[in-house]
This record gives sequence, structure tokens and C-alpha cells, in this order.
Amino acid sequence: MAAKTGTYTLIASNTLAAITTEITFSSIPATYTDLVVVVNYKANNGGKYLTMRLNGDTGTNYSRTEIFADGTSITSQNLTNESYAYINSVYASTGTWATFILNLNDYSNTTTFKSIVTRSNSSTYVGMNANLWRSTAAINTIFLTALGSGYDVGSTFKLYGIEAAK
Amino acid sequence: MALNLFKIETIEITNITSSITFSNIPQAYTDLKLVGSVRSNVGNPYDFIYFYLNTPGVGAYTQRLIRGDGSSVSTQTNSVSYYPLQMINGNGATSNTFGSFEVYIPNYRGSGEKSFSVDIVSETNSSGIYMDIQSGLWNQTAAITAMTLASGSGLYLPYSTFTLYGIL
Repeated sequence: MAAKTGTYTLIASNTLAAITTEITFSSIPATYTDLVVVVNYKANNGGKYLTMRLNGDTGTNYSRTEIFADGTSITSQNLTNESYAYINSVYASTGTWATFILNLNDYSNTTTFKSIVTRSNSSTYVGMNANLWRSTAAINTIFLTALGSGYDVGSTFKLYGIEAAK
Repeated sequence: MALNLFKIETIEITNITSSITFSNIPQAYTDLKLVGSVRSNVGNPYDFIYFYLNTPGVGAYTQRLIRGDGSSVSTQTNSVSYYPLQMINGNGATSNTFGSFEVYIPNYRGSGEKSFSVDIVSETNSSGIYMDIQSGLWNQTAAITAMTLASGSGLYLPYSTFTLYGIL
């Protein structure tokens, strides 16, 4: 049974055929209300942390509030004026699979700063991040970098646009 | 452009039931999303669900969670032969309240182990109820073709619903 109009539309998809450290979604159309990024990745050479940059901005325009836990201890922290949007809780050990889902709401407006909510799930951590990008620019490019590691073969990256109900 | 979120099936409980199964899940999507609104007949404000992929008892599940109960936060790790979906509403919760959960499984046809995301909330206008974010992993590489959700301490009450979506 098909859904009514106003739902996910796949904008771009990437399944890795080789170990890769950075994935880029570029030329993102401004025609949706929200974006969702779904990543299912296998950590190569020791999973590290993920960083995200928007529109290639390398300035210290990112901040975050996050909570994550490993089954033993819970950490919550707030960090400001960073040059990436860090997502700590996507850490995964070598050869294990992890999933994270990013929601970028009202991404194409040119009036407000952009906030991103991420739910991350690995064999090591579970967590949630609120990242802020202090820019009023519409988001047209997303860079996802695995610090100190790489995304292994078979990892999948998908970018969806969500349209308002019609 | 094509629309990419499709409802595969909704199961609504009409008689008190111990288990529901989504079988013959189409292999035509990339991701699966399971949404539930559930209440059981256990006397506590909360209950849980045994969640199985494909054949119950095959493979092992790992769970990491963060839980809040309105006054404190805790974390757990569980490694078991089923995935414990905690916590949904029990019959000790305020009348007419149902717990809600969402399970997102990307790449469900892939050849890797299956990693998934779980969010669960329950509310009772009182204490003794929980909300979780959970990370799940099933250590099997088979494509997911079925899901079974067996009730925990109680049985599913009427008007509980389970809906499975496919995402392209």
C-alpha cells in the first residue's frame, strides 16, 4: 500500500565499493522542508568519531549538546565554537556495524541558524546529539568524515528530502 | 520524483494477544521502520516486548540504552537471544494510555550484521514510567524477512497497533 503524498524522497544514495573516509552530498535541492540522512556503516581500522561540515564551512561556527552512554556510564556535555559538528556517539569498534540518523529541519531557510538532531547507535554507544551551525545559509552540501578511520565496503549513505503534506 | 515511504502492513490487536508477526517482508526496500502503540494487561505501569528478527532464537542481540524515568538517568548493556524492547505501557498505567516506540532498521537486506535504532516512550501522568533511546545489533547477516513481537510479562491489549513501513 503506497503512502499518501508528503513523505520521504530519496535524493542521493551511496553504497561503498572501497574504504572511504569522507562522504559528500552536494547540490542538495532546496525544494524540501527537511532533510534526513541515514547511514549504516561498518567501521574500518577502529571506528572513530564522525564529523560533519555543512557547505564546506571550516570556521568555528559549530556547537553541540550531546548525551551518550556505553552501558556503564553516561556522558552529557556541551561544547562551543568548534570547526566541525562532532558526533561522538557513532564510535564503533573495527568490523562492527553502526547506524545513525540525522535530521536537518528547515534546512533551506536563509533566516535562521541550522540545528541538526542525530540519533546514533553502535555496538559501543547509544546517543543523541543536538548540533548547531551558526549560519543562515541554506544547506546545499553535507560532508560526513570518519576521523582517524574509514567507512568500510558495503556501508550505505542515503539522503532523503521530506516534503510537506499535500 | 518517486515517493519512498510505504506502509507494508498494520496489525491492530482486537483480542488480547501474546504475539504478532510480520512475515514475508518484501525485499523491495532499502530500510524498514516499525512503529508501535502498545499497552499490555500486566499490572505494572510498564511492560516490555521480546523482539525477534526472522526466526526466534536464532542469533544474538546486543542492546545499549539510555533511560530516563523523570528523576534519574541510567544506562544498560544487554546481550541476549532476543531484543528486549523496554518499556511500553502496562495496565497499571493511567487508563487509555499506550506506550509508543519506533525501530529503524537500515540496509535490512544487506550482508552485514543488522544495526538498528530504537526510541521508546511511555507516559502515565505519574511516576514509574520510562523513556529510552536504544542501540540494537543482531549478529546475523541474513536478510530480514520476518519480525516477531512477543509480549513480555502481560498480553497485548486491544487497540494496540504495530505498523511496518518500507523505505526506498
